[in-house]
Amino acid sequence: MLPQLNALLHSELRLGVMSILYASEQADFTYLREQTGSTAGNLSVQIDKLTKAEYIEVEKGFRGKMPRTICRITDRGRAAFEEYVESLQSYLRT
Amino acid sequence: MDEKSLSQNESLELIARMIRNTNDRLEAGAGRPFLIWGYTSLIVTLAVWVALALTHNYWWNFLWFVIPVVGWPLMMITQKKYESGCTTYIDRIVGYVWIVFGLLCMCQTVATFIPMHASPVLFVMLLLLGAGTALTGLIIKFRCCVVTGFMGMAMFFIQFLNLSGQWQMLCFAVGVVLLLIIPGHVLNLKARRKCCRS
Repeated sequence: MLPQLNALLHSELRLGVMSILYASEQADFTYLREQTGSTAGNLSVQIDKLTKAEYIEVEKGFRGKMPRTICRITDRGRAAFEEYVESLQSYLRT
Repeated sequence: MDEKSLSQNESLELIARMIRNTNDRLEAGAGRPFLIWGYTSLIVTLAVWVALALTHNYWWNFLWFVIPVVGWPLMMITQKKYESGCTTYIDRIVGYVWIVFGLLCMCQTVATFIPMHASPVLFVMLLLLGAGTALTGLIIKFRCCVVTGFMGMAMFFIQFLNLSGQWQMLCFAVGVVLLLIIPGHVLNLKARRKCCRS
């Protein structure tokens, strides 16, 4: 019996964001938007979904006078991401 | 990217690409710390060298403390302009490496003011800076830093030629160019090329 893939992570943009945050300690909104090539509105919605699932945490602050949103992966998000990758690998092995 | 669902293969490819991009990223101004400390050290070294050659007054050695006095504020001022949108574990490790080597350099400088202490301070500095540069190069996989770092460490052995203080300073100036200024410019050039391509 193959494990179910995590539906929250099995979407292109959310998986892209989680992959970047998994590889880094923190990334700001602008960096995530540039790397994923998404629109600000769409990225904002997906970040909100990941935050509600407690996979990432968001800190709002300022860089000089400009607002800055910093995202970090949580322990729960890290565990979910690792589990997702393991599930993917087991799918590919079969 | 949007909210579309992916096949298993596409998912793994996306994960690999995003992690690779994050780890291999090189941002504008990546060589900034090397250049700030490199040019500050070079200018101060040459200033001390000229002052000592002209006056033979050893009080000019206190000019060495200009390096941290100028270097730290410059780092702070330029930090905001080049602050990265992403911080990785590699950034943190490189930061720790330079905190440790920076403190060792400060300790070594202070130790030269202890009476009867006769260590070849400039060559020890070259050894420390060389180790820091080589380690940075190994961590960020940047060959130029590794090569110049080990070359700088090898310069430590020049002390056994028993050079005069004036020549030691010139050796140190060459070492600073090799260890900090050249890698800084090469790193900036590489970052600019990468930014142009993307």
